[in-house]
Formats: sequence, C-alpha cells, structure tokens
Amino acid sequence: MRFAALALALAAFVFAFQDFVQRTWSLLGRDRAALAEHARVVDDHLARGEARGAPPSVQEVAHARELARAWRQERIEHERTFFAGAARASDYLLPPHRRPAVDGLAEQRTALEQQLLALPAELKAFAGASPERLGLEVPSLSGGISEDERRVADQVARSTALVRVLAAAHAVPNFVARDLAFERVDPASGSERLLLKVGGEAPLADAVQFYEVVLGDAADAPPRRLESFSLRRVPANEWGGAARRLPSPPVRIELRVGFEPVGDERRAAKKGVPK
Amino acid sequence: MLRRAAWGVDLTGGAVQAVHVERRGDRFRVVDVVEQPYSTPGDASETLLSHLPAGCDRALQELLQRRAATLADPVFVALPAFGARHGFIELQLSDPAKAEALLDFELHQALGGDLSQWAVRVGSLRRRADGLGAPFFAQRRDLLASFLNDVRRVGLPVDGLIPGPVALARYARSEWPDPGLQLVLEVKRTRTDYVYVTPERTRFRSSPLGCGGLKEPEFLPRSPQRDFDELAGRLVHEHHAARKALFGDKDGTALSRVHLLGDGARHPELKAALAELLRTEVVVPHLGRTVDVAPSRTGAHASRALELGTPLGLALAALDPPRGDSWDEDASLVKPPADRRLLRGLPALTTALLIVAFGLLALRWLVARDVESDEKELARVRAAVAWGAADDWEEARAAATADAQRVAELEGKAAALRNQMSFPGRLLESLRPPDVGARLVSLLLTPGEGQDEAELEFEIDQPQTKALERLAAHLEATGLSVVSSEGQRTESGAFLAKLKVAIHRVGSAP
Repeated sequence: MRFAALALALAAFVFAFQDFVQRTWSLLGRDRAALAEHARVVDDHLARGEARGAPPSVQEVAHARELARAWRQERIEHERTFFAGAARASDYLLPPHRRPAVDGLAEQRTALEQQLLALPAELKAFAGASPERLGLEVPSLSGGISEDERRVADQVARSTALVRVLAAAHAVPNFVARDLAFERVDPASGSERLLLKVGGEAPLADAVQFYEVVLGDAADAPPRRLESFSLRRVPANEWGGAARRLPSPPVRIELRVGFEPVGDERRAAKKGVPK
Repeated sequence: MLRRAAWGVDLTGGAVQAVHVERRGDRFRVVDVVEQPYSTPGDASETLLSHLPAGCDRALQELLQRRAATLADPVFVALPAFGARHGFIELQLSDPAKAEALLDFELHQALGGDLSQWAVRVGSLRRRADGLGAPFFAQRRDLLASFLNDVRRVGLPVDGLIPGPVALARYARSEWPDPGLQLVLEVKRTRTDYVYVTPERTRFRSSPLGCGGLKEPEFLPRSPQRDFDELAGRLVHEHHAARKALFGDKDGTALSRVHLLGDGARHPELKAALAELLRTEVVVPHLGRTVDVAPSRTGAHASRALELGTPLGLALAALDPPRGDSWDEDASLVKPPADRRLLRGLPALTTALLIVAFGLLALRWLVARDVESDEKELARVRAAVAWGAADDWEEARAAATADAQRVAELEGKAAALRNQMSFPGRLLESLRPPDVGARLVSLLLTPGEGQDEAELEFEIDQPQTKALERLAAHLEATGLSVVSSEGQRTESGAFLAKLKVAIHRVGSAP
C-alpha cells in the first residue's frame, strides 16, 4: 500500500516536473520578458514624454497632415514653375506642354539625336568650338548615340545647356563669340557639376542683353545658376576685326553658368557622370 | 500533520499485552489495546527466563493478524530483566566532564570487567549531596540476542527493546511525578514487578509470582477474601525482601504511595488487602495525567488500558524519547531495522513528492495567470499613450519642413538669379544720367551665399572734388553697399575709380 502510494506520488511528481520543464519554464521566460518589455515601454514613455511632452490629439494630427499636404502642393507647384514642368533633364528636349515625359526615353532619344545633329551647324558661330571639344557625340550613319544611360544623360545635359547659349548668341545681333567650353567642377559637397563657359565681345548694351538672355527665363534649358560674370572694356589696340563689325566700342565678357540638377539628376548627382 | 503513533508490547507475565498510542502534542492517547492471555488457568508463577514463554506465539496471532496495518508504526517490546544488572554509579566529583570519563571505569567495576558482553544504557548525570551519580542498566548481549531472535522469529517486528521494569518506571514518572518513594506494583498473571521510584533513581525487582491463581472477578467464590489475603501477604513479603535487598537493612524511607497495576488491579479485594498490610495508600489509576483513552472505548476499557503500565511505558519511550537532562537509561537497547525505518519514511517521502508535484502544478497555474496579467498590463500601457499620433505628427511636421525648405530654396535661387540677371542692366541705368559722368570699364560679378559681390571700375573724364565719394554715394543710392573704394589718375588724365560692392537682393521670387 505504501509502495503503491509512493509509486503514484512519484508518477505525479514526474508528470509535474515534466510539465514544469515543458511549459512552466517557458511561461517563466515569457513572464520575465513581459516584465522587461513593460519596464522598457514605461521608460520609453517617460523618455518620450520628457523629450516631446504630451502626444498631440487627433485633431492636431489631422491639422498637421493638412498643412503638410498644403506644403507638398506648394513645393510641387514651385518645382513645376522653377523647372518649367520638367522632371528630369531629358524633358528639356521636349516642348513644355509635353512635360514631364510619360512615354519613355525612346522619343527623347530621337529628340536628342536630332539636337545633336543640329548643333554642329549652330556651333560655327563660335570660333574654335567643335562638337568634339564640347564633348558631344554626334550620331552618324555608322553609329547612333551611346546606350549607356550615364553617357546619354551627359549628352542631354550638354546639348540642353548649349541650346540656351546658342539661342542667346543668335538673339543678340552684335555679339561676337570667342570661346565656348564645358568644364566639370567638383565642389566640396562631392557632387560634380557641369559648367558652361562662354566668352565673346559685344558692345556694352549687347553684352548685358546677352547676359540677360542666357540667364533669363527659358523653357528649353534647366534653370541656370551664375558662377561668375566679368565684363571688361577692350583696349582700342585690341579691337582688331571687331571694329569693323561692331557699331560701338566692344567689351569682352566671360560668363560661367551652371545648371540646377533636375529630378533624378539631383539624386544621381553624387554618383557623377563621365567627363 | 503527520500522525505519530507506536505500539508498546509486553510478552511476559502470562499474557500478551499491547497498546497502540498516538501522540497529540504533549499528551498521549491510547487508540487500541490487545490483551491475550497465554498462561494456563490457575498458573500463578513462571520461570524467569530470557526467551519467550511457551504459548506466546499463539497469543500474538491476534496482534499480528488483526493489527497488521498499524504494525508499521514503531513497535517497542519489553525485555525480560532476567540476568540484567542495574544500579547507580556514585562519583565523588563535581565536574561533569571528569565524571563522564570515570563512568566507563566504574561500569567495568560494576559489571565485572569485560563490557563487550553487556549492552549498557547509562542515565544522565545528576547531582547528589556528595557528588555526581548516574543510573545504569546492563543486559548480557547473548540473552538480549536470544530474546530478540525469539520475538522476530514469531513474526513480531521490533523497533525498540526496553527492560520491562524500566518501561514501567518511565510510565510512572510520566503519570505520577510526586516526590518521595513510590512503589509501582504491577501484578501480572505469572509474575510481579516491584518498581521503586524516587525523583533521583529507580530500583526494581521481578518475582515469579502473579495473580494467575485467582479466578476472574465474575467467577470468584463466595468468600474469596482468603485467597486475596494470601496473595497480598506473599506480595508484601516479597516487597520487604526486595526492599531490603535494594535499599539495605537500615533504610527507613516510608512509602508515600503504592500504585497497583496489571491484572491484579482488576481485584479491589487485593488492593484493599495490600493497603491493610502495607499501611499505605494503594491506588489504581482511573484517569491519566498525560495519557487518555480513545472516546470509543467504554469506561471499563479506559481504566483497564491505564493499568497496563509496562506497555504504556514502552509506547511513551517510543513516542517521547529522552531529551536533555531527563532520564535516559530507558533508551532502547536495539536500533530499528533499516527496512522498517525505510518503510516508515515512505509516507513522508510520498507526501513530499505529492507536495512538490502539487507545488509545480500550482506554480504553472500561478505563472500562467501572472503572464496573462503582465501581458494585459503591457498592452494597456502600450495603448495608454498614443505615441502613434505623435509619430504621425512628427512625420507630417518633417515632411512639411522639408517641403518648406525646398520651397524656400527654390525661391531663393530664383530670386538670386533674377537679382544677378538684372544687376548689370540696373547698373548701366544708374550711370545713364549725365551728372554722373562715370563710365563703366570693368565689371566682375561673383555670386555669394547671402549676397553677391562685384568689383567695379569706372573712368571719370572730368573728375570733380570728391568724385570717388560722390560715385560711391550714387551707387549706394541704387542699392549697393560699397565695401571698399580707391581711385587713381591715369596717364590720360582721367580718374580711375575701383570699387568693391555688395549687391543687395531686390525683387522677389518669380
């Protein structure tokens, strides 16, 4: 009888111990974890409360979201105005009413090819400027423009930059182009920027007009940024051939213009593009 | 609470007498009594031997068969005092430590040399007028082993073995702790134990004369007084002989009381005859001081149980072992067998296992409840403060701030570009009035963070006094701040003014 009771007690003990190992032990772990998490949440609440104060009400959150939406609309509107509706640099190859382009790059590549084909003739006005020196890859019968997206983006940036300057040069009748070149600068921020350097001679009033046309509102190029502008009277002994072409004493100008990064170009600016 | 109980069994004196006693705090309760005579009717004496009397094994059957379940409790058996020696070792010392060392030597003297043949129990040291003293009891080991084998052979388990008179003295000291000399007279069927109890020590003697010759009270003849007087006279005679042997001729201590126990206590005539012959109060116990009887038993049974002095003393010794400074010559001469100890330990082990098992299961229940409570509290604490709203608010604020910064950046750029674009035209316009008289010959425009800077050179053909200051004042009136200026004459006689200016932003965003 006593041994039977002992056997039953032993069985009960084994069952209880097995239950303890399999279930109670994990429950104890859960309990410890819950207590630790509870302490962490309380500390977090205290820290947040100390740092931020009381949380806002639902109405305050809704009001903040409304303001954020208004600011977002404001930013979108400003960007649309500032970038003339372009979302990326290649959009400047298209007319403003078709921006931003939604039909892929095929049409833009076609527009880029046409522009690259047209630029060599336009560049004749600038002495010494050639597509090769300006880094332009003019399509030919043996080959089109590169497939490399980075090279295409570089060609887009260079061609759209040139369009504005060439338009200004044609718009000012007494402007004598002397120099045209691109240069890459690597400011302290780490992002490479493409600069266009323009030199030439013109009467003072025409020089100022040329300067204003290059920097002025235009939908065919990204927003410009003045890097430097110099204007200096040309001594009479240096007038040369200009004396015959210009109606009044010329000044020599040198204009360095940068272009604001547009859309994806802003985010990709740090990666750099081939020179 | 665990129940503590024990059996006290006396196999001598012509009957098996056993009591089952429970301990309840400081008191004891007799829960069962077994009394089974085995001596031949009319037989009033026995041979004092160290082994079981004949017929005892048959009388034990009732105890062994009908009480087998309770025999797991400790069973203490009375050892016949035949061949035993007892006495009191007196030491002329007052230092207990030295007395302890001398006790062994004195025992050698008392027991005749070789102690290995004796099983000895020595009582605690107690102070006397002339020093220290300790009682002792010794039994020859061969007789002890012989009796033990006999008892175990008939199937009765033995957990303790105490001399019968010593157990009787144990009972007497528990029940009648009165001062003076008391005689505990246990008259059995075939023998009588004379136990003289004083607060200091115990002396005893057994005689092979009992009351077995008397008829049972219900079968007594019409004039039985002569039988009682005769038995009482023989008992008193034996008492005087024992007292003379134990106390000496010159001892004059008066008996304060005589306690009549055993089968003889059933005969009031014997009690009266003893009182008359001893000229002392003779009492038969009816109500125990520390011992009572289970209520289910009748009054006759209750008083009868209290008359079984030796079994009760054995049970008390088993349930209340001597501690500290108490008498301990009544300690058991044998140890309980290992299997019996193990068997008695099983309930405690079973109980412990059950308690642990129950505790583990209860722990799971408690922990599960605690986990549920903690997790609910955690969820409540998490939901109590709507930091999600704060995050949404922060997100909206960050987005609005970023958008506002972008708008400000674009507005700033547009305004700066517009300002830079219009500056040369404005400058030329400001030089147009004829009173200015200055001609721009050089311009270097450099954009800055907050404002643009320009280096200007003017040529003045007919310079007046303070022409440079006047030119600077004129330019500042058009929205420029002159940072520095200097002038010099050229070879042609004209005045060349060089100014470094800061251009104020004018206009607003497109």
